[in-house]
Amino acid sequence: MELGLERIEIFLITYACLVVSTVFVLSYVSVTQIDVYVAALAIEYFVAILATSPHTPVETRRERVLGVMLMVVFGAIVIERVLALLK
Amino acid sequence: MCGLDVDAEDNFCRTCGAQLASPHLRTTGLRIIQPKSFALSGIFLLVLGTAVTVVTYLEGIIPIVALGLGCILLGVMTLFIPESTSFRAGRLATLSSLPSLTAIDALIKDLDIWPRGIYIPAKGFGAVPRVLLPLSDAPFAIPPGLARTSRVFVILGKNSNERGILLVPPGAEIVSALENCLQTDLSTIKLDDLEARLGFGLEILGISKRTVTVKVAERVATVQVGATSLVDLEEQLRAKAPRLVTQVGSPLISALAAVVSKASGKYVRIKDSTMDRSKLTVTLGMFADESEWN
Repeated sequence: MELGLERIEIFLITYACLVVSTVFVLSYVSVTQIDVYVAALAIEYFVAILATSPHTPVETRRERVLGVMLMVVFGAIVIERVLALLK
Repeated sequence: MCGLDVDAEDNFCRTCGAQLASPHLRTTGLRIIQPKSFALSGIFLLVLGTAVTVVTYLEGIIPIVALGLGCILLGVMTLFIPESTSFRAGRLATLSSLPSLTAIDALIKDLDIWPRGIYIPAKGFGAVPRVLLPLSDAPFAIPPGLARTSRVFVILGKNSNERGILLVPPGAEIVSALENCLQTDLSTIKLDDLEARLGFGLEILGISKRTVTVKVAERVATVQVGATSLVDLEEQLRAKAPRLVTQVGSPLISALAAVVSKASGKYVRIKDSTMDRSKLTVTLGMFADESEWN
């Protein structure tokens, strides 16, 4: 089916749907830690990027900045959780 | 505008040349202002996301904080979007070819030529059909070999009406590029295969996204090209060079007419062309000789 959408538009719609559904599901199962939500948002970002490949090579450089930032946040959350388990 | 001589199919006055509001042109404002609207949406999402995050964090409603963060992320991503590739390509094509095409439009107007152009079929790999603008609509024989001549002003008979201007179609390079990327002489393919070949070729060239349909009746062919990247050029030409679009065709319309002429081996005339968002529909009349002109 041809919707006439650019890949970047498909990416944004996909990511928005993922965010809304994740928040709905996590709140439904009574998750109240903010780091779980943030980690899910970061993972979904990379999944959506891989699934839709929205950027041209030039735009990919900009995308990397956001990707690195999200990866740092995600890494910090994982490290914090691992340290909590080790204590 | 004097409005003295307006044909039902025209969108300009045949006496003074002033353009009427085009009935076939529906603007694609969404695409034209795409980069600006993306930026505004990005700022909106960013502000909304920040407000929601701060307020709900202070209130301790964690799921809504996450929703706010998602909103902020979407806003940042939206702000990162530059002009899309196809939008840039379309604009560059417009800027480079618009002046010469409007000059041809002015030439047609100055020479007071009203009949629509006739695409003369060509044979052979790389050979592009030529388009003859007859000085009058009275039918006369057009030799197929005329497509190979390099002359511009041609006289084809004793009568004064049997003459015209022979042009290289604006879409000639698109036809050549199509043949090159398909590695096929378009005059050797069947009309039944044209839809698939044309769709594939236009997708490879970045003109369309394989949304091409070709319907051929006895003397009429209808070609639809969806999601064309040349929408910007198409719209500007319809506004600035209406005679050229009507009588000879824009680069894409003329390429489609030339392709159908070459594939069918018949003379082709553009009967109608409409632009609906980024979908182009062209109706072409096909005839084997001058007895079927009108």
